[in-house]
Amino acid sequence: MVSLHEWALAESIILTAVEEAKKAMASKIKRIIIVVGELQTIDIDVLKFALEEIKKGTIAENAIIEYVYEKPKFRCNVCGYEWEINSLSEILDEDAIESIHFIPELSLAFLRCPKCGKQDFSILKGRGIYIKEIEVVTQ
Amino acid sequence: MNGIDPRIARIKKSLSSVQRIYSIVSGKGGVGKTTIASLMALALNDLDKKVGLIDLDFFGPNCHVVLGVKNFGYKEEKGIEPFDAHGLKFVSIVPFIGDEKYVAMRGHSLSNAIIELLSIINWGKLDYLIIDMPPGMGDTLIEILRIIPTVENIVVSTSSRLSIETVSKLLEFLKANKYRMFGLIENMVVNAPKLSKLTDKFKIRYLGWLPYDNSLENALGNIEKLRQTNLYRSLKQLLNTHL
Repeated sequence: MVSLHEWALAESIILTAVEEAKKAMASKIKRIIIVVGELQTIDIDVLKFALEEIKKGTIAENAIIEYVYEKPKFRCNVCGYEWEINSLSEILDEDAIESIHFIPELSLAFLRCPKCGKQDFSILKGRGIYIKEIEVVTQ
Repeated sequence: MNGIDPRIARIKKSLSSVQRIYSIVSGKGGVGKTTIASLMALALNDLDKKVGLIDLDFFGPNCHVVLGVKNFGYKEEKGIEPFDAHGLKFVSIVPFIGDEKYVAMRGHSLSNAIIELLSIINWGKLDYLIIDMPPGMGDTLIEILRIIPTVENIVVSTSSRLSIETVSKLLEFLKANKYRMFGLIENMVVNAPKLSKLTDKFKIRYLGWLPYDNSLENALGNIEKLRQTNLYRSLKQLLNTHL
């Protein structure tokens, strides 16, 4: 059984995709494109397993799910510097990474602008999961 | 369809088995929102109700201090299970960030963090969910009003002119935007309560008044001592009358 919080993320995606498809009077969902922001360090195998399980018995049952990965990018609100992070594990300990895993904005507690050192930055991309596109069948 | 935030749908599902949701709000800080939210959750729990409590004051979370919850964590079970605090289902930002760590956020980040937290919690069946809100009319308040349209606001004010002036603006905002109002609690009353005129003016329910309680500071963090305070007894009586 999947006990991780990735299940909640997967549930969010399927609930939303089905809700949106129904709004569009669709009978089936053909494809869902998901953007996975790497700041959240999601266990992608667990997410994929949860998505396959949750979509069973819904109009998304036979949907193909595509994944687009995004590196986290930040902009300092003080000096304007922009930077990307390739690997959180190189700069943060496990507890910090886990905090950010649950709530990506907690990166504000653990990261600083590499140029001016301030803890006032915006996450430009790569924060977490969202649905980029849903392809549906309307009949 | 492009760029859809999937989290709101799961928040709705997670709250679908919660009977009533109350947010404890005030335009002003220091009027006792956190104490009232925490004791209200405790009192309802003592009245054999199933109760959840969430501390949404990310910049100054204190409900755990009132209730004496230490070293609390979370359990992952297809989402996050709230911590069992004296029988209450309790959620706070504290276990995610650490006891002594701080976080400062701008509005957009704060909104995102609140939505993210709410979207991963499994509340299960509850009679009541109590939300402890930060002071003011900022992102936390307007985000909660947007994503939980069934939330009923309980406004807390003292009889100080400083509090009344700010709370009046909050009441105007809630009324102008037709948000649900459960009523107003007058807190920290020393002599006689004074705020029924205010509730008459805004045509909202005056839920009652709570005394200024000198014994509260020493009782903080100790459930048994909290239950002995006049504040707890008065609040329990008030809840018995209105809920």
